[in-house]
Amino acid sequence: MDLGSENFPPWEMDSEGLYQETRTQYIETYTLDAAAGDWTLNIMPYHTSRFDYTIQIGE
Amino acid sequence: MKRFVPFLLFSFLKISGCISSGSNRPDWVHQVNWEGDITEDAKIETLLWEQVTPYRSIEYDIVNISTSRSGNAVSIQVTAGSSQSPYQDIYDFSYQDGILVMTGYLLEAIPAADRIKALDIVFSQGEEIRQAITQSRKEPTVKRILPQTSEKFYTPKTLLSVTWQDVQVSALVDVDSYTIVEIWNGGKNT
Repeated sequence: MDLGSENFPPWEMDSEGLYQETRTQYIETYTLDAAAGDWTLNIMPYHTSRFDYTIQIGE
Repeated sequence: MKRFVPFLLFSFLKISGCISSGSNRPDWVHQVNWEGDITEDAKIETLLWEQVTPYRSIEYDIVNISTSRSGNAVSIQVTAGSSQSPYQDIYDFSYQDGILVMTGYLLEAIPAADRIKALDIVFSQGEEIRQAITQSRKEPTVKRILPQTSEKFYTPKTLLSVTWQDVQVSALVDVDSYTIVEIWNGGKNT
């Protein structure tokens, strides 16, 4: 998830280096033990300029 | 009896609060929880208290220290909450070779009175902002800006940033002098 940098005041960009610097990335991993069937995944990024995701099934 | 004197003296100091438990833990911190790759480290915690500081009258009721080791470096995130504010303070650090460096912060644990004061300053002095936020559909954020950041824009002191993110407007506010230091309006600073 890329938070971008163009949409924040300079004093907040400067102070929150980890959160708002250009090309800052977060990688979150969620694991779910679930029965076989149809599942719906909702991804709702916030203050994010770009994001990618992968879905891994099984071990 | 002599052997008990140091023990009694220490107990008195401990009870009276002159010696805090933990690593020079400040009296404005009431509970600390460590989690992650490092369960607890007195040296790191001592260094943390040199850089983790609440806003003025705020006291941290709960401080969570989350650690993640990568090679010789340790990433540390400190999340601090207070009953005096519904918002939290978050500090990020990197620790390596005995040196702790703050890499980022997001500080919103600010008392309601100061949040209101900051908004009052913006509304009373920021005609440009008053016009811009008529289109806003969200509540503004109020964030503490530390002196090391403030000095790049004004002077090295704690300031508050009042921001309407959805309409790209923000004011850097000095609540002590009751002034707007700088306005950001879609990237056009004034």
